[in-house]
Amino acid sequence: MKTPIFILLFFSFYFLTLIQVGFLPHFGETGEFFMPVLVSVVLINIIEREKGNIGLLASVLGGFLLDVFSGGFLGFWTSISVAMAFLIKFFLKSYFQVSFHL
Amino acid sequence: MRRVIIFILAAGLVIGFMTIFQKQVKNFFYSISSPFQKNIWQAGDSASDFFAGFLKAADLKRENEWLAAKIQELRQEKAVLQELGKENKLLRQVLSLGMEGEFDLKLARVVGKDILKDVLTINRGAEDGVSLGLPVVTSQKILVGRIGEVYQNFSRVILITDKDSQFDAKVVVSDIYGMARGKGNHSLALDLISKDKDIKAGDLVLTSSLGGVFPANLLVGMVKNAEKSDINPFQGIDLTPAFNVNDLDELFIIEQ
Repeated sequence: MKTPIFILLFFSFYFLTLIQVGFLPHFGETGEFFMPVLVSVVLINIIEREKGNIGLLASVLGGFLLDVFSGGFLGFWTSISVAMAFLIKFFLKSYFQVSFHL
Repeated sequence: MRRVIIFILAAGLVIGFMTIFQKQVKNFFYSISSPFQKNIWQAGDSASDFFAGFLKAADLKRENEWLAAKIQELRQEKAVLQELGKENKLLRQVLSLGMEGEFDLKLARVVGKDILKDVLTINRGAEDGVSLGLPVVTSQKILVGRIGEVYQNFSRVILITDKDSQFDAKVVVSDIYGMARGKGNHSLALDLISKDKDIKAGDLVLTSSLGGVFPANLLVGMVKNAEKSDINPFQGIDLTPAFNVNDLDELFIIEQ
């Protein structure tokens, strides 16, 4: 795993998490339930190459930052996003073929 | 596949280790994010106001007329209350009663909101003398919630609308006591009011000192609707909280 990708993902998710907890709550229920971090994790996993690890790294980083900025225990959102990443990989491998990749 | 398993195990170990030092990890991130979060919260406030102006333009005229009528009504009430205030002052002097002691307040700024719960993050923590359970109000003495978690430099405020929140409250006009309960998603209910009590939409609800959770006479909200059913011994009362979470910026923690 290249360090620049890690740093880029970390700061991107950090920014998105701050937007999620500080900016979006002002836009009512729609804003509160739009989760840019989880949406990004899903998108990265969909467009990533089959054997790449960036999607998994994104899910761990995104989940971890959501855990830090929410009231629950560390690991709650991480588990959810990692499980999502695996499910997406499984479905893509079994049923779909994506023609463009990261 | 082996690499993935090793990666997950390593991530699990790191997160497990961090969970032990959860408070320190969260405090670290909040400390470095606090300046940005404050600005992002204010930017969100301005942006939502801007868009709300466009979306609600049609309702503004109607609302303006309603508010003008309400102002007239409140002016009348104010005149009556001023008279009552004079009388009250006189009676206090006669009875030699001291005025009610002022609260010891600490100013705090909202820096974020929890993702799924009715919980706010504020920029005051244990270092500023904040402790668990302290009530949090707005500058208009509207009850917002209580301190639910304290970290070194920040705290979490459990809003009165959160599902974990309940406290004694009273309906002002009729002096009826009940239990205010958060329903989550910025909504509030008033329980344990028997069906024979007369509650109307628009009645104001204040805190009561019965349960000892909050100081008495802080504004909680207004009765939205009251429903009576044959199968329930109590009324189903919904309240509209007196604060709007989007407008909260500066809060006060009551220390005494």
